Amino acid sequence: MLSVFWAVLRRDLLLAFRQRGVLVHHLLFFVLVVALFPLGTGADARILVTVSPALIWMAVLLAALLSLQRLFRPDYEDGTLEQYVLSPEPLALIALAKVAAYWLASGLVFVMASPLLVLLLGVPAHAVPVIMASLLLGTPTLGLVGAIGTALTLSLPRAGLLLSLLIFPLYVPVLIFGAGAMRAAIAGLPAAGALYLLGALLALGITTAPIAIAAALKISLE
Amino acid sequence: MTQPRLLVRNLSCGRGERALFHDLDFELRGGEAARVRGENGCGKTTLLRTLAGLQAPHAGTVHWQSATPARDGEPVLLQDDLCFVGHENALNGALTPSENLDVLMRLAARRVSVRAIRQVLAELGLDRVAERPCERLSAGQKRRVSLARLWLSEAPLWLLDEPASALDVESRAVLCARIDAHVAGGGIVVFTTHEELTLTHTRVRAIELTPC
Repeated sequence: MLSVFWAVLRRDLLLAFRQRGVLVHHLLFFVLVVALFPLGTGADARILVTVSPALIWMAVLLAALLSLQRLFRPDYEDGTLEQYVLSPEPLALIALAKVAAYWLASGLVFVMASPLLVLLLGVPAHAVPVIMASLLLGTPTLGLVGAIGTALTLSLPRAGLLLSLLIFPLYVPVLIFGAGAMRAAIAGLPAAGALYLLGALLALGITTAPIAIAAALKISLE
Repeated sequence: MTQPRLLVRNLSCGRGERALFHDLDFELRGGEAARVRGENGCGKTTLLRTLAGLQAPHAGTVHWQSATPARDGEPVLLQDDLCFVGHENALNGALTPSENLDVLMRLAARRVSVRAIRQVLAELGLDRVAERPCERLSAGQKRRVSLARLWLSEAPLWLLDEPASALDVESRAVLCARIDAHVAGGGIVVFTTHEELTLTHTRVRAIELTPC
């Protein structure tokens, strides 16, 4: 049963590597959103530090929305999705493998890029570990929740806008606790509470989202 | 193992709300092949997808083996007894034929060695392109890669949607020989086709779909 998980994970990572141009686009998008923001706020460094948690998380949300649209679309178009559904292996496990590969190839890259970006915004260095931890715990949840939305909108021709309407409200808890952890860390306060809640959300996501994704994929194929 | 048996009773199918055909009855046993006939848009693909369990019928039942019959209007999932070659090839353009087949076989819960995949690709005359990304193959070559699953699978029931599309004469003959061998070995094949497939050893039954 686990062999299909590794097989799908390996396949999608291989695909991400072969099509690494796409990955670079998403990373550039993320970096540009953050880098353009200071041009609009003026030179007051305190404002930048104050808004940086919201800014980083909004950039992550937008980049996730952009990249999520390709999560199941190619498989849907070339017929591989039918083979996932027909497989004797659990569809939820295949879906989890796809989201895991997606996160390794996009979310993890954002996490890696984040220290540089927050330092660019003038955030004190002592806050960087907490910022990375909050992104590390929050971005997989974004992927899992977003995958439910993508799976649901798969059979629609132009799903982009509907997808954002569907999943942005569900991103609210991650945004609140993610940005909350960052704010606390910048102010020098303990951020453990918010991080624990992000971890709890992730645990909830890993255990329940794959089942919802599997059900949504089956509906999309009908 | 018991002899495979596919029993279809009072099957009515459609796309969404629109009904395509009503009250289809047929029974196939191991060693039988059937061709689904009907004009364009009369539901041939829908029938195959319903048999596979990808979509629920509007009414009626599909029984496979002696498994508990699905309730009226419910999809059955045949899972490891099924090899489904759909309209699309299920190949990712950025992966090579062997990588694609490796994943497809794992999805079908079959452990197939890389050597076995290579061998089948060679038999189908695809050894020269085995390490080339699928997006650089011709339509016929892609179809042959997709059909290579029939050589690797051990599923008793094959559902083939236009298996011969884009195939040249020689490849079509190879495909026919494979279908013949599968049926002779006690398997069941249900297929749709526009090209004539001449199966020399198999008597092909016709399933007529009359639009409603």
